[in-house]
Amino acid sequence: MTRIAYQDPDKLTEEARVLLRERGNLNVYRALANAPNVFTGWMIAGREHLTSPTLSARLRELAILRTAQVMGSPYEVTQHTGLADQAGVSPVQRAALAPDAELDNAGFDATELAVLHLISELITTKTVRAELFHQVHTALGDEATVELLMVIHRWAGLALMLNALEVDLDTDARISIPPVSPER
Amino acid sequence: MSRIRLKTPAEAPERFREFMLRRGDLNVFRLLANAPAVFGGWTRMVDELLDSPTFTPRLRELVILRVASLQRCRYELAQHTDRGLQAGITARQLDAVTGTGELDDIGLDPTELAVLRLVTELCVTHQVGQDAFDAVLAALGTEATTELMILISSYYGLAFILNAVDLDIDTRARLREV
Repeated sequence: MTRIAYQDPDKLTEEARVLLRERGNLNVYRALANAPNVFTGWMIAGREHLTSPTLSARLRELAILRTAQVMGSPYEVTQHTGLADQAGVSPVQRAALAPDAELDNAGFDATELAVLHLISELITTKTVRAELFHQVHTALGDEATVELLMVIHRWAGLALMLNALEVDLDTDARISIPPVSPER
Repeated sequence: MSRIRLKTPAEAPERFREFMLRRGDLNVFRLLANAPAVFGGWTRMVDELLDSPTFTPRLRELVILRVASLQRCRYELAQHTDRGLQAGITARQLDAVTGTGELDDIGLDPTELAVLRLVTELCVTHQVGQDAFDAVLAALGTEATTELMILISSYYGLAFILNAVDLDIDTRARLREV
């Protein structure tokens, strides 16, 4: 049972309501909509991550699920399982993302493995060894490396909010990827 | 030495250059400008967080400094130490909030103490006990408690980027209020 009441979408600004509805009207958004001074910007930042072409959907979802697993967020894991499946992450690979599972024999390629190791090392130790960072940076380049780090930034922070607010897992609603909109 | 090359405002697209000049020509902005597909949304989020009147500058800086310390983020600490002092945090309070000292006897009010206890528990364990949460909710109400979550999460997550890249601390540039 969530620790705060969910916001009524009809009480939001039009911009915020559109952002909430296009992503599936999830409990997490209705909880965070209680902070109207900052909710819209937070939603737009997330929208850009979900529509950016820089990272493949598969690498993005792997990064989100790994972050969710290391942070301990069942809400994020549940919401992103379907997206990961659609992006080609196999059930064996999904299971290997758990913090106590083994990453090395699940069929990840070398770049994916380096990214997944970077995520757990960063969240656990708060830093990354130079060799591991170099491996990811060499594989992805400047733009995708920074965008990957911003994915970790967002979903690690979101995991804290979900856990602190004890947001209820949505019974049926699942996140939907918004359409790319060039005007944003 | 930063592990990724920083983009100067002159190299950044026009829509980002305006933000970088308005908020301060900081290395963190030069770093994130490498990701143009997502930097614009991030700047909108940051503008809303900085412009929001929900928290006093003092409470906001206490939260940011505590998160930065728990995340061992030298960059965030360097950027926010002076801001914290300017917002009325004393040197003794700063030492306790950014160190391992006790928070109880340094003159924080009950709301500040409740907030910093929540920040500490959440950043360290990724959870918050019911008593700690209830104390903050009673002191701040629903809107400010929710905004507090977004504030914590923003600086908590940002610290991972700054630490991973080993971003150089700005020699002179400082974040600007508008």
